[in-house]
Amino acid sequence: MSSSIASSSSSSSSSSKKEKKISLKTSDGEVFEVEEPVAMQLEIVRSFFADNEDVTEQTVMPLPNVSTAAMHGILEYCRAHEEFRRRMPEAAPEEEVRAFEAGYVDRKSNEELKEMILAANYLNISKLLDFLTGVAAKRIENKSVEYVRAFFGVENDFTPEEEANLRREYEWAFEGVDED
Amino acid sequence: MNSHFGAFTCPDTLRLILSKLAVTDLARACCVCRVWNAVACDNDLIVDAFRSPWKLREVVGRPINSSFWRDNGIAKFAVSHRIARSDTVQSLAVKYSVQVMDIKRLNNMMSDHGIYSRERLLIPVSNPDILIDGTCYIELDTHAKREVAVLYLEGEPDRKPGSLSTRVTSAQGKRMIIDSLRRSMRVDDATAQYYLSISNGDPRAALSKYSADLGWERNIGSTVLFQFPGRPVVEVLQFCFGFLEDLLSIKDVLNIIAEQLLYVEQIQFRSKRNYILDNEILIGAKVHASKHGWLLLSRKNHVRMSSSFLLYTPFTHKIIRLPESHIMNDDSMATFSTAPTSPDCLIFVLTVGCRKLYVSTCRLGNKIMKVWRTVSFDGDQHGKVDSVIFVGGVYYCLFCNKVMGSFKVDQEDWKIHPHPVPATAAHQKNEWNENCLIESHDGNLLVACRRFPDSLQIFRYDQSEIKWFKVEKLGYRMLLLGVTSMILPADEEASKLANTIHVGGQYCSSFGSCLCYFYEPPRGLFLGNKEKIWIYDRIDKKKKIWIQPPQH
Repeated sequence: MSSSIASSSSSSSSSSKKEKKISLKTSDGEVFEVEEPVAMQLEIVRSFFADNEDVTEQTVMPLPNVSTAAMHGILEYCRAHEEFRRRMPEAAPEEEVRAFEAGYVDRKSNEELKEMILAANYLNISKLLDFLTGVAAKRIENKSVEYVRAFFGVENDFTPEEEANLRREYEWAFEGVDED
Repeated sequence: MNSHFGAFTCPDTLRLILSKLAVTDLARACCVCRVWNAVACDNDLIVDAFRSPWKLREVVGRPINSSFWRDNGIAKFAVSHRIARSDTVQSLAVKYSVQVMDIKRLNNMMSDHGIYSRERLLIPVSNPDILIDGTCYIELDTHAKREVAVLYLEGEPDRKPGSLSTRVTSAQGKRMIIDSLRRSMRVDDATAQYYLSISNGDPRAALSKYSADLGWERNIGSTVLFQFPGRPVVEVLQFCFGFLEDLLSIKDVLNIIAEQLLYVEQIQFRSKRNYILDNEILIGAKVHASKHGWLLLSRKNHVRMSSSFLLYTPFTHKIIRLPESHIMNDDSMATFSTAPTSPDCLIFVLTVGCRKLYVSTCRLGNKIMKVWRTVSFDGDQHGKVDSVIFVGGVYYCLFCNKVMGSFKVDQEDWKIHPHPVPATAAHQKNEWNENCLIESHDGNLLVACRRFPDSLQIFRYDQSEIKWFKVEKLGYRMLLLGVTSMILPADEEASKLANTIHVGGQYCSSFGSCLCYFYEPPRGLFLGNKEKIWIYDRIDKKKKIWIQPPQH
C-alpha cells in the first residue's frame, strides 16, 4: 500500500545507521512504517511493545480506531516533535514549536481537528491531545451554545423547559457572546 | 464521519476540552446538552477555571450563589488583615499599596473610626502576584456584604498561634464560630461542630476539611446513584472505584462505571444522596470480590505476616470482620457466596502454600462462633491462582498453569477440571494474558479469556460434559471485567449497554485505561471506539473494582 509516503519523508531525517521501523495499520488497512522514536510517542504503541517481549519488528500493530487521514496528521506532529527533540535534546525551541503548532492547526478544518482528537485520545499521546483539545477550546471560545452544538455535532437533549432554566441560571454567561 | 461525533459526549475527552475554557464559556457549556452539563457543572472544573488565570493553588469553600464564579476579576479577591492596635486605614493603605478609598469601599466603612470594632479588614488586591500559589477562602464578609475570595497572608490556618482559634475559649465566641461555619458550609449545627472539633477549633481548617470532604462526597454522590423516572426508589445500578495502584487517595480515584448511562438518563446531580466511604477501610486493602453491594477485602497484617478478611458495604458502611487465621497470606484469593446479611453466606479463601493448597471457609450465619474451617490438599504445581468464584455450591479456582480446581462445599471434595484454553507449547505464555471466572445470570460458570491487544473470548463450562463452550452473545446483559468481575442485566433503561463488555483494572494495565468491547455477530468481538469510557485520567493505571448492586 502507500507506505511509501511514510518512509520517504522519514529518510531525510534518518541518520547514517539504519533506523528501526514499526509498522502500524490503520482502520482502512493502510500500513505505515514509522521510525521507532516517533512511534514510541504513541503511548498505546509503546506499551504494546513494552508489555509484549515476543513481538518482533515484523509485527504489524493494528490500530482499528485510527483512520489513514488522522494518522497522517498525527505522524506529522510526532515527527516534527521528534525532530525538535533530536536537534535540541535539552530544551525544545519554544518559539519554533509554537510557530509549527500554529501553522499545523491552521491547516486543519474543524472536522479534521475532531477526528484527530479522537485518534490522539485512542493512541494516548497526551501532549498532542492536550494541544488539540486546547485548540478545540479556543475555537469555541466566546461562541454561542448553538455554535458549540453545531461544532461538535452534539444534539440538544434538554426539554425546552430545562434549557430555559439553565439559561436563566447562567444568564450572566450569555452577555457579549460572538455572533455565529 | 458522523459516527465519530458521539465521542464528544464522552466525558473523558470532553473534560479535557472543557478544562481549557474560561468561566463564562464553561457556564455556557452547561447548556449544550445533558452530558456536557454533567461534565461542565463539575465543581472542580469551575474552580479550576476560576483560579487558573491567577495561578492560585486552591479555592476553599463553596459560594452561596453560583454566580460567584461568573467573574474572576481581581475585585473578587481580597487579603484578610487582622486589625492590630496600631493600625489605621491610612497605614494599611500604605502597607498594602492600595488607596484608602478602596479599602473603605470594600469594607463599607463610613468613617475611619470604625476599624477597632472590627476583627479584620479586607484589603483589595493590588498586585495579582500575591495570589500565585495562594489559597483563597470563599467567605461571605458581613461588612463587604458579598462573597469574597479571601487570601490570608499570615500563613496556614492551623499553624498560627493567637489566630482566630484562640477565641474559641469563650462559649459565646464558640457559638459565633459555629454559626458562621454553619452558614458558610450550609450544614446543621452538629456537622459544623464536628468539623470544628476535628480541626482543633480552627474555623478555617474546619472549612478546608469540610471542603475536602465535599469534593470527596461529590465524587461519590455523582457516581453512585441514578434516578429513573417512574421508579419509586432511587435505584443504585452499580458503581466502581478506580483505585490508584498504590491505593492511597481514594477521593481522587472514585470513578464511575456508568458514564454511558448518561445517555440513558441523566444523573440528577441535584437530587443525589451523599455517600461517605470509610476510606480507612479501603486504603491498602486488597479487594477480592463483590456481591449484592458488598465487597470482600483483605488487609495485610505486617506483624503477623498474615491477612485478615472483612466484608464492607459502601451503601450502609457496615463492616463485618472475619476472624484472623495464620494460614492466609497476601496472595490468598477469596470470594463469597451471597450477601453477608444472609445466614447462608459462606466465605472462601484459597491459599497456595508449600506443596499444599488450603481452602478455608467461614460461615457467617453462626454469629457466635465465626471460625475458619481449613481443608488442605496436596500440590502447589498448578501455579498462582488467577481467579476464584462460587457458583452453585461449588467453589472454583483458575490456576495460571491452565487447570481449574473445584471444591464442593458440602462434600469437601477437591477436583481438577480442564481449562478453557489448555496449556500447549504455543499457548503457554503471553498468549492468553488474563483469565477470569464469572457467574452467569443463570448460574453457569463462565470464564473470560483476554489476549493482548484486543481479543477476548468467553467460555461456558458444561459440568456434565466436562467441556468448555464458546459463548457468542450476552443478550440483554453486560459483562464487567476488572479486579472484580460480574455480569449485570442491561435491559430497560440500560439497554444501550446490552451485549457489551467493559474492561478495567488489571485487564487494561497495558493501556492505562479502560477498553470497551462489543459483540457484533458475525464479526465477533471488536474493540469499542467512541465507547472508550470512564477514563478520568488516562495516564495512571487505575484498577476498576465493580460493585454489584445490592439486592432489592
